[in-house]
Amino acid sequence: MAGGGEGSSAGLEICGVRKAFPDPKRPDGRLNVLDGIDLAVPAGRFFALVGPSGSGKSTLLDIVAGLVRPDAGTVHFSGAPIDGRPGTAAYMMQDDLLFPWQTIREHVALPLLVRGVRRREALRQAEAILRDFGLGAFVDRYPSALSGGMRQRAALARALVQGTALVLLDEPFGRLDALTRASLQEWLEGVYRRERRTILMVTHDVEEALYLADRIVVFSPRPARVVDVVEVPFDRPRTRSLRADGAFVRLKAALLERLLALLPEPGDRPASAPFR
Amino acid sequence: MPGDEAGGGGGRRPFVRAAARLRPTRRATARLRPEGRAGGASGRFRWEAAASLGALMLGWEGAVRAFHVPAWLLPAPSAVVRAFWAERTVLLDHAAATVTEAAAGLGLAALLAVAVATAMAFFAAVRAALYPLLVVSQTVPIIALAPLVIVWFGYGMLPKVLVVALVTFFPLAVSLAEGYRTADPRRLALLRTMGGGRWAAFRYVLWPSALPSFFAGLRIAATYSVTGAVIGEWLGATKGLGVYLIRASKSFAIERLFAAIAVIVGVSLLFFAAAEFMARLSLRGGPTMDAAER
Ligand SMILES: Nc1ncnc2c1ncn2[C@@H]1O[C@H](COP(=O)(O)OP(=O)(O)OP(=O)(O)O)[C@@H](O)[C@H]1O
Ligand SMILES: [Mg+2]
Repeated sequence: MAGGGEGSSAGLEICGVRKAFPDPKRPDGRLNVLDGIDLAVPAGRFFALVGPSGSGKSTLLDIVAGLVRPDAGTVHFSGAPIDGRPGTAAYMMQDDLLFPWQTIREHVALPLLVRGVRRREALRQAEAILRDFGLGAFVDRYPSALSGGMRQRAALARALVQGTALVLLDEPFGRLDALTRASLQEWLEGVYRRERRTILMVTHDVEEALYLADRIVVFSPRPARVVDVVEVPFDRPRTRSLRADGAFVRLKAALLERLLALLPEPGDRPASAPFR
Repeated sequence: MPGDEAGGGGGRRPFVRAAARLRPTRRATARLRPEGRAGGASGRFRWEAAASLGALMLGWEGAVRAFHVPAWLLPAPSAVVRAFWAERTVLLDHAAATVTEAAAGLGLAALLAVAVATAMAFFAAVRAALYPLLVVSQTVPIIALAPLVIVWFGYGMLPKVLVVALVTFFPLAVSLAEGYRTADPRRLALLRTMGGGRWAAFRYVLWPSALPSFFAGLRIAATYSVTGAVIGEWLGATKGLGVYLIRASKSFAIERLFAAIAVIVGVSLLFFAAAEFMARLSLRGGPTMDAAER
């Protein structure tokens, strides 16, 4: 089942991507993780990726980021192949992955420094961005002295400062309490509306996917295939009251149902039953 | 090997993701120890150590007086203090030579260790070639090697510096090499997504990740360095605490020998404190946090 369907060549195009990891514990010595992924994210759209734990969502992001080479298939962004070369996409990995030896100002300056911006200039820009992100008072703090929400925001700032047109987010708000999570979602929605970059975000939270994304891609359990691409019909800006909206709640319930049905159960269900 | 991940060789190598897979439960520990290092605990330790040291000295003094131990067998602490005071200018003069040798040797070893360990981190072949050699070199007894160094380089300062470097190189090189290996591959990967190459990986991830381990090695090496210098002097020198030790024991001036030992201990502690100070300066952010994460 093809992903986006728009047919525009400007965005992210994932075609027939397969990946297996060596696994000596299995009879064939291989753990099949991605089983032919086709997905197209048109430029400037926000897609969410949901699926059972261990299905291969992070592996797909690693491949799109250019960190891992697929066994088969291709990934293009704006028509150019990624092909195992990192640098095209900003990637906020699962677990915020901040460096304990750097202040958050230095974190946000890091992508600029790596690109060759002068230290003083990079630090100045980093501070300006952190102020935008509501962290202006904490620029000189080390990660150990930040709350979970601040850490996630700092990690997001570090990813977004790279200025790439493609942004990959792997459970950016995982491990946060519901309140912080909701407020960061509103904030990220604002950032997305301002910048309109192409975003692919992995999440376990159906409500988060619905609130933020234009479409929700559903992965099957491992080996993963795309079993559904759900259109999210809500206008932007997404308001706080949207979460209580009848259509939102119904869609959330239906999606949850759909995901639960994917989990292994004795009564086998057809894997590609149409949704909605 | 971290050096491999650092390269821009694409995603050909499978990822080691063990570190990323463990869900950190760091928050609680981070809160309890905002400074990262257990400064309070070591402060208390120092207080208790001073108390027990004082008790030991008092007991020693009392025992020597009560049992009339002859001074050539075991001098009382008070006699040692008196000997130190009488000899203070001579002792400090010798101590200055020892300190210079130890510091120079330690510096030389640190430079070499950084060069060798970093080369091993970057090039798997260098690592494969050198690591076994390093370990084997450590099994050669320094007491056997030191006379050779004297034979080769004479009685000046250089052979002592080399002995110190020989003693301290191994803990420094190994701790730094191990430090490089603990660098989180996900962090290295993140740097590659920023478009960073080997140098960026080294500068921003490998080196900072290795520092805590390197300083752990430096603390050990710093204390070894003074002993190394004394051993070097012992085997032939005109100046240094080792020379003083030999003269004191040859003339049966046992309270002077004890005074020299006290100075050696003091100088070693100073070196340790200097290493500790450097570690605290460089580890401001508390990379020890990481230990709590894993
Ligand atoms: N480098 C690797 N070597 C071997 N197996 C791996 C490797 N990376 C991932 N895997 C395996 O591939 C499977 C998919 O992992 P992945 O992290 O992509 O899942 P995920 O969908 O992101 O899961 P989660 O929702 O829990 O984050 C898992 O079973 C994992 O153990
Ligand atoms: Mg994942």
